Amino acid sequence: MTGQVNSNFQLAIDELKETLHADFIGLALVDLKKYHHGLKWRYVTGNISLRYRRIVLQSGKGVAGIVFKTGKPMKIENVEASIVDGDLYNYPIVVFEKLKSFGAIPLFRDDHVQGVLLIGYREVDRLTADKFEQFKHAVGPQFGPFHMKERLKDDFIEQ
Amino acid sequence: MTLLNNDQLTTMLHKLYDRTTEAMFFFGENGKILSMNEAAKQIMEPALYDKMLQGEADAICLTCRGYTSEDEQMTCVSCFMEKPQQTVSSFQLFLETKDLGVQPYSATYQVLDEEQHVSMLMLRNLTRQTQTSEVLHQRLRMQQVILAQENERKRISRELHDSVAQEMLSSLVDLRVLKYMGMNDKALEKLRQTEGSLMRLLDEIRHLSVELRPAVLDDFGLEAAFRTHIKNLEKNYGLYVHFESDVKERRYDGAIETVAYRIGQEAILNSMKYAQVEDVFLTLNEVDGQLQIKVCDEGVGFNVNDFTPQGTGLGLYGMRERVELVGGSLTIVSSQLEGTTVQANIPLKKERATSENHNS
Repeated sequence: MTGQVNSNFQLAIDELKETLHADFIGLALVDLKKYHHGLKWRYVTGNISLRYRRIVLQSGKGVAGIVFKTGKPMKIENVEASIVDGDLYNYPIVVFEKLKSFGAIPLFRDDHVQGVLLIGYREVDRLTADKFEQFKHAVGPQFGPFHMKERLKDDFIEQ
Repeated sequence: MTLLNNDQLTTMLHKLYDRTTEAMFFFGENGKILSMNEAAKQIMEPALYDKMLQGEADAICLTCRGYTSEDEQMTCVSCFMEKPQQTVSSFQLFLETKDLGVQPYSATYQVLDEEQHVSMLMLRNLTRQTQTSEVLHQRLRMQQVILAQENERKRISRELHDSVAQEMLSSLVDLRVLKYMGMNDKALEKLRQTEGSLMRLLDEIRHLSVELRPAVLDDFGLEAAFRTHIKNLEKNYGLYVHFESDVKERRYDGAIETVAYRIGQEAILNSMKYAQVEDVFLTLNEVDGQLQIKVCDEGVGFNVNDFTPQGTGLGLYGMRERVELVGGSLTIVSSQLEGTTVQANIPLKKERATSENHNS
């Protein structure tokens, strides 16, 4: 990847954070050179710690892993109500960034999920259904080769 | 032995009747109560006691909740009062008691006078014995469950690792060969994607196998197994585990290694779930012929003696059971502010009744 592309992604999520008044936005990508290796949060904005850098997710693990594997959006409006304390550790990004309301969508490239874009708020119920729609539609040409394509419309993974 | 005359014997029997802790009932015809001793009065609701003394037929049924047969815990089927000839002399009976609810009793029913239909029932409280045998039973069952689970996990893990993953690997090799058999760029790109998916799938199967039961544990021992586990924890959950060990490549009995590994795993998982920490400390030592495994965190602790588990509460219980399976001991020290330390000591010399070889 060139430096040019890198800065574009960062710019894109910074802007997205502004327009949607989000507290946190993260972009997780698989290593494009190696097909099979883990999913990492490569670009973030609004982060409160650097712990996200440690996370390398397997497919099916964590927020990014689940969205990556299923290819479907995932939305949790109220973390406190939907995830019991003892289960929260399964979603490290939510713990590290103290997110209380979040949603994530898959980013496709050539019909394969290559990345996951996450929007998060640190107060419950901030990510409403409307806002999540807005978020999905905000993914445009600024994300380069990636595009948002829902395989089944409105088929969220509700936890 | 001094022979007693009749008067003395009567006096002594009277004393026994008054002083004994066994509840005694004398019944007349139709189960009418003739007399009850002090011990019987003690276990009865006062209102019930009075009512029973009024001499109703089958007054004992007011308090009796049935006896234990082979079919049921508490039953009235072929009640001992009705068919005294068929009744075994001693059986377990349940009574509704004052303050304590339904309690188990060991009962003896004896017909004293067939013609006048006088009979007697003697009861000894069994609560303590019942509890003891229940705890024992539960324990044994738990240990069997643990062993069964471990064996089953091992079987599935091996199957995934040795057969499914191997098969997948050979398909991958075939696919790679295909790439050099001359095809256009479009097909080649598609092939690359398929290869990527397959490789990811292979990875997933391997992870699944390791999660169930790491083959590393059987092949290379505790230290290696923990290192792998820790690496995965850091990647998947961003948790740092600081690991210190002096056991190096030393190997122990399969059952001991399994227990030590599972304890470590469970304790770390608990810290991760509840202590709200980024760092956990794990030490593995061999001290005085004992394998010592210690997991500490400096996060939110709990009151060991009095806490309501946030989860199932089975984790702590299971850890203790596992340790006892190999004759070891488990100590948990925790406080709200200073975090939690879980330490297991497992004797390496065999001094235990049960043993199970997991490496076989």
